[in-house]
Amino acid sequence: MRLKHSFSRGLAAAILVFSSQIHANAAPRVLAQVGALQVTADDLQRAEASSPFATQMPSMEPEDQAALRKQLLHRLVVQRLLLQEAKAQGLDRDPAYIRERDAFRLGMLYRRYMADLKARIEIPADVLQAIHEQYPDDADAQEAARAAYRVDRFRTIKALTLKALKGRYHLVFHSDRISRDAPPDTVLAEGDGLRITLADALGSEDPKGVTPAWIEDRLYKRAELVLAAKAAEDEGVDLSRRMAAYDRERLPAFLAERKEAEWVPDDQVLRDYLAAHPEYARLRERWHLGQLVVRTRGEAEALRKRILGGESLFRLAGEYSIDPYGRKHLGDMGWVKQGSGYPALAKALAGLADNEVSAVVKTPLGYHLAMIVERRPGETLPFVAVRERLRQALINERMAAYVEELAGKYRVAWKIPADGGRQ
Amino acid sequence: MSPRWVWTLGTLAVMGVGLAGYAFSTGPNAPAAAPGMAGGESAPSLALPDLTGRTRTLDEWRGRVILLNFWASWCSPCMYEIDDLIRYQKEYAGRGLQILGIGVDAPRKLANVRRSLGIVYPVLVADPMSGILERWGDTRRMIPYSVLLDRRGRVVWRYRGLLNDEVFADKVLPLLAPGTSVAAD
Repeated sequence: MRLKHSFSRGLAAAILVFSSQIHANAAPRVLAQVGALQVTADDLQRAEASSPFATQMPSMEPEDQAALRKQLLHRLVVQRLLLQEAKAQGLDRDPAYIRERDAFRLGMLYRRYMADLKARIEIPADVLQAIHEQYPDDADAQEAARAAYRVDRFRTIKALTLKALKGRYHLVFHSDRISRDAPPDTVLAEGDGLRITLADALGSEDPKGVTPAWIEDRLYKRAELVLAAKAAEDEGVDLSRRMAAYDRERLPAFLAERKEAEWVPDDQVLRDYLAAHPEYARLRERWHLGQLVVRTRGEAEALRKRILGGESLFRLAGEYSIDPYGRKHLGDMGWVKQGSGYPALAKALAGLADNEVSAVVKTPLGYHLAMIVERRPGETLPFVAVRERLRQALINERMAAYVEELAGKYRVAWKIPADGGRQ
Repeated sequence: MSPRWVWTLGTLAVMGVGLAGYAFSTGPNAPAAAPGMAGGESAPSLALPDLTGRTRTLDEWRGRVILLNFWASWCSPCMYEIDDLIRYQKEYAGRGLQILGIGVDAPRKLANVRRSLGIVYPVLVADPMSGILERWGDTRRMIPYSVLLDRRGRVVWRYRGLLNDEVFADKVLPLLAPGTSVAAD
């Protein structure tokens, strides 16, 4: 099924109806089958809750909510397609991906260990009592005071814990080996099941640009990370669900990045794209526009006669225009791009001299009289100014086609009930 | 425990968005010190339209423990709080709790939120510039803001910020005697 054409109005309407059920229905409902994977109502709700418009969504009109949910649903389906293709291509075994994944895992183990350490801090009863007496009837202040106490205690406990872990795993530092000229695999610290090399300490930094003191600082930070992560692992911290979620989110993005690099390997591709789409670099002429809008042609013709007789369009707009913005600003519509707005109006303005009133133009808003007061010439922007725009346009074009291809490979079946599940 | 944020009503009405311009409460979330409104005093009169346009007054719920919650659609902490308020209303209506949402916002937006979040208690519409917040003790005009009335209609507590389970249990639950025969909404 072609993904683009499968977003029919019927589906959009079903989402509109279904949207009202999403909050009410606690059971996860499958909205789409994407190859071997599914998109459920829970997935959509989570995507909605983590989106930039999450807190504005409740106040939106139902149609706007449905439109946004449709976009989110599309994104979720695309993510499922890319995930399956990434696995089919073996990207989950790619060394670069594995490096990223391992770094994430290490960080998560560290965070979990430290979070557990913090959670175990107990506030003595006398301290709690003192906090309660200091901030009676103020739950926020009491919580802030408790948090401040925990932060202070955590500082001490963390230092003592890391010292103990260093002893437990017999971690030894070889600070004498620290040198930016040393081979990357030089072991700077080692212990039971632990090893930190110069490459680990440097990360992505160029060794030429760092000092031995900097390397040493990074070495100790790295040691803290690996000690806590090792301890978390040995204590049985289970990250399997978290890592599965990481793969679900990161693999599609990893594939997308690979495809983007394939589609845009260098600037020549973008220059060729610009040659085929010169409109991306063209800045249209801009006009400072004056306008008034009235209800009937008769009114418009009468006012045109008065303007030709020497009266000001702007003064008349302030008195007669039914366009609220135009009336408020005395007909001054500001700067607009040539060709923007209603085609009939754009056509009427083309060929006018400055301060020459147009013929009466009919649009859905009413009957217009307009004039160009001044102009800014159009120009062609240099490549460097539109490079990013070109890149994005090309990638969007290629990605849309790629997603269609994947939708053909991994069948997409919509399961949104037409009645919104109200039966 | 989620952080509690409060919003300056006038500033954010101008900005017109809920997420920009968070302002943490600079003062304690203690009862607001409105003149002539110490705890235990009679509440001001309240006559506001609901979302159908029908005027409602506090008399309608006399004999119940009333929690007035002032909110707006652009107030993102209010959106988080409403989920808890819905839960409290459902759980404690049978013990005499009546939550009233006082929306200081456009009726259409309030109606959209009511529909979207499934609000189960009455939503009344108030003009944000009418002085209603000041009359009810929120002289700093920050929301979310809640006022608790006992069964005799007296103001017993005012709170600026997000209500949570701890605060609700501490302040509201003691007024809800177990086994009350007041019918649920």
